[in-house]
Amino acid sequence: MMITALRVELAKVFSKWRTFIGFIAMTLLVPVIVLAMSAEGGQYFSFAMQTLQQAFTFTGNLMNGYTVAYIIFGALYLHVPFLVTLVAGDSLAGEATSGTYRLLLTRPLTRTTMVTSKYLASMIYVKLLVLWMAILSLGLGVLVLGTGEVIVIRSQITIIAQNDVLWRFALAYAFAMLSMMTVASVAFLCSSLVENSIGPIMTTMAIIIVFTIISAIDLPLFDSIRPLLFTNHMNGWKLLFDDPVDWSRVATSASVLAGHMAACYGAALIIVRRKDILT
Amino acid sequence: MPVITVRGLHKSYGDFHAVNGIDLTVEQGDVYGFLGPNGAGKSTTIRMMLSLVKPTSGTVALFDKPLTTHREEILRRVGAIVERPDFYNYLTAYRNLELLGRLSRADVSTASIMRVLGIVGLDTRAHDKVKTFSHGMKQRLGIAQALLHDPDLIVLDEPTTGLDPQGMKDIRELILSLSADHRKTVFLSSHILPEVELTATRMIVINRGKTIVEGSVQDLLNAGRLRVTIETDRPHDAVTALGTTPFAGRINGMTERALILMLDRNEIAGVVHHLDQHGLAIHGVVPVRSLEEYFLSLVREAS
Amino acid sequence: MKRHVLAIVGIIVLAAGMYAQEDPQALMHRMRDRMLGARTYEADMRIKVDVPFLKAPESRARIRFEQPDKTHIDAPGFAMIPKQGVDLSGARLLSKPFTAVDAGRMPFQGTTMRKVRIIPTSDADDIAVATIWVDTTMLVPRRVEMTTKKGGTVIAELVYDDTTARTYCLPSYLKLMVDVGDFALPKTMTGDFDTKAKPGPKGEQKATVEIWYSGYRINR
Repeated sequence: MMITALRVELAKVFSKWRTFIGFIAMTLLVPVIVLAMSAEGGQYFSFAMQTLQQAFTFTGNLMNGYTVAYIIFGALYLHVPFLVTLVAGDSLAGEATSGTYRLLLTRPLTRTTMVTSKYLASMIYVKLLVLWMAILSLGLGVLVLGTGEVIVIRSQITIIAQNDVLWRFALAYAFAMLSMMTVASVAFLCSSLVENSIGPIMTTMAIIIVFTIISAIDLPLFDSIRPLLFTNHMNGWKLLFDDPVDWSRVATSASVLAGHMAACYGAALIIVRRKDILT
Repeated sequence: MPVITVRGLHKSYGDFHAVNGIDLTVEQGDVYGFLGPNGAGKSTTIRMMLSLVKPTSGTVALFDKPLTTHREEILRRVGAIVERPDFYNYLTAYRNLELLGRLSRADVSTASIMRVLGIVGLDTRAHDKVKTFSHGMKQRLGIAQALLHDPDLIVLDEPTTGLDPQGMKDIRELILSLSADHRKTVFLSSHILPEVELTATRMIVINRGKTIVEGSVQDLLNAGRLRVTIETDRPHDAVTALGTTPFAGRINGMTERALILMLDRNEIAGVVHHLDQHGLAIHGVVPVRSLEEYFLSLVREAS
Repeated sequence: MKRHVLAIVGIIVLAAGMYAQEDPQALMHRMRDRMLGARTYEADMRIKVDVPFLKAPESRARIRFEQPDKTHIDAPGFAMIPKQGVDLSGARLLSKPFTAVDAGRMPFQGTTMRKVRIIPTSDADDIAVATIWVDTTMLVPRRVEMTTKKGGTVIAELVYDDTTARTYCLPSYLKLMVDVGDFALPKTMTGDFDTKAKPGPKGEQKATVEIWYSGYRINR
């Protein structure tokens, strides 16, 4: 019954136009960024590498598809959470708004099956969205700009060899899926609490903004809670572009995110199982 | 075997008792009328019967199985409309039935879906999005989704609301057919009392969360006062003749050729005899009990 | 007879003393002549860079040199090539007018080297002063310190395992230490809000570049 319920949920998710907002946005944005970097990316690097360019000459295809994919990853990462909440936030609350809880829950499926199938459908949507971002960024980037070393410009510059790149991207996108699934899980939990779709979307974005601010402010007061905030770990994908990779930090961040996912799913399940359907 | 057995059903929200001790039994093949004024607890009771709401206390058993422990097994055999029929407006009627039917493990073949849509008169609108449907069309679609998986028990909450007279007649005949020809059990809640009167075999009336009466429709309607139409050419003279009797206050109406009184069954003969004594020719006596009158009287008394 | 032997011994001792204290200018000219013997050369380079704020993989390139000063570096992919010091002929430093001043003898890597200070006399040269540690037995420079007129310093340490290349003062290993400026970009550009700034030296820093040369083709 779970497979049937999941298929029904996916059919519903992908029948709504709002589901495709994220995909359309990516499809429009990524080519624009790739073309812009193709035209003027050299200036970006010149500014960032000017210290080194005084002492060194750089050869090779620095402004390549891999580097651009990395840049796009960092740029879109801030905005994908909003796209994710559009679907996850509507998952349960949308049924209440439209009055279709009654239709669903007078079928011979358990509430656990109903909630789980909706949760899985939301997670599948997130994975497909991130995968699309990966395909567009890497595929279009490599097509337009070719391959080469990845130049990671953070507090220091890391140049990753061309043959050392793809596995990092694979793991980074997997980590991004985990991060976005965590955001979707928070939205899903909010969706179980209210009976309109807008509330969970706005609430989830507010949580992300507040937690991100707390993570960024360097106050001792926040030191103890910062490691617990899921937003503090969402950027763990960047660790995969360090040399060497700090696997313990990656594992810690992944565990915190997975823990948040499990907690949000569990809480939503308990809430829906116990609630009276009055809409 | 009773199809629905409800015992001591209670539902409280804080100090407010929405359902306050309801018992009912529905036998197989019954068309069971569920009546009560607004706020009586009908919706809450139906939701508890379908596991949408958890009872504060009491038991619900369907097909002789407790709902709490056999929910999925039971609901496979139940089709329901609860209050207004809401669907996924962004999907077509066909797609709604297909997806909901899958969850009910119904036959979701094109033939099967088109069959139920044909029953409710929506086969020509199968591939239109539900958001373009009128309320009456959604009502029909609601009945279609309740029937798709060929359930043994059909729970209909206000099924004819928003339908035109032809639509109401179609639904009424459908209900009767389901019961008589297919041995389905129908649990029918409606405000349109003549419809219930024409279809229900048994009924319950509740008010303020409590049972007022339960039983066979005919038995309930035959008990107590009847609306008696006495056919005569001189109804004015009949009124005069009854003026000195206690029945003067029972006169309920008059037409050109009849006088209408509210009488107990055992009073009819006495009234006819009195009129005959006054030289009035009586052409016919028609004792009728309308559900609407019965219902209103019950509710008034209970209040 | 005894007088002839004494004279011969005296000449030998004098000549030996003169050789041991060879004029630094002449020494440099001799070394330069060896370098100029390589009219063209090619070699494979394996380059490893160590910069405080940079992590980069080893890169590979091929250097081609043609007298007097044409240097061409081909790299199939990414490579970081130091702008100064990679041209090892030394002829560039020694081919322009200069004054060599003896700066004594210094031990270096277990060997006593002749230290010679080179002062370019041409205004066109961007080098203000250079100091060369010369291995007089092999007649090769083992360490070079160059100070540019802009104030930067390049230090090179050389090793010669290839005997053929050695005859032209072409090393098998070069270690360069060059100055690089501080690296600081705003966090709005790096997006690195969750990394605390690491404490460390600010301002000019030293980068170390190690280059291994192999596959020399000289004068072909």
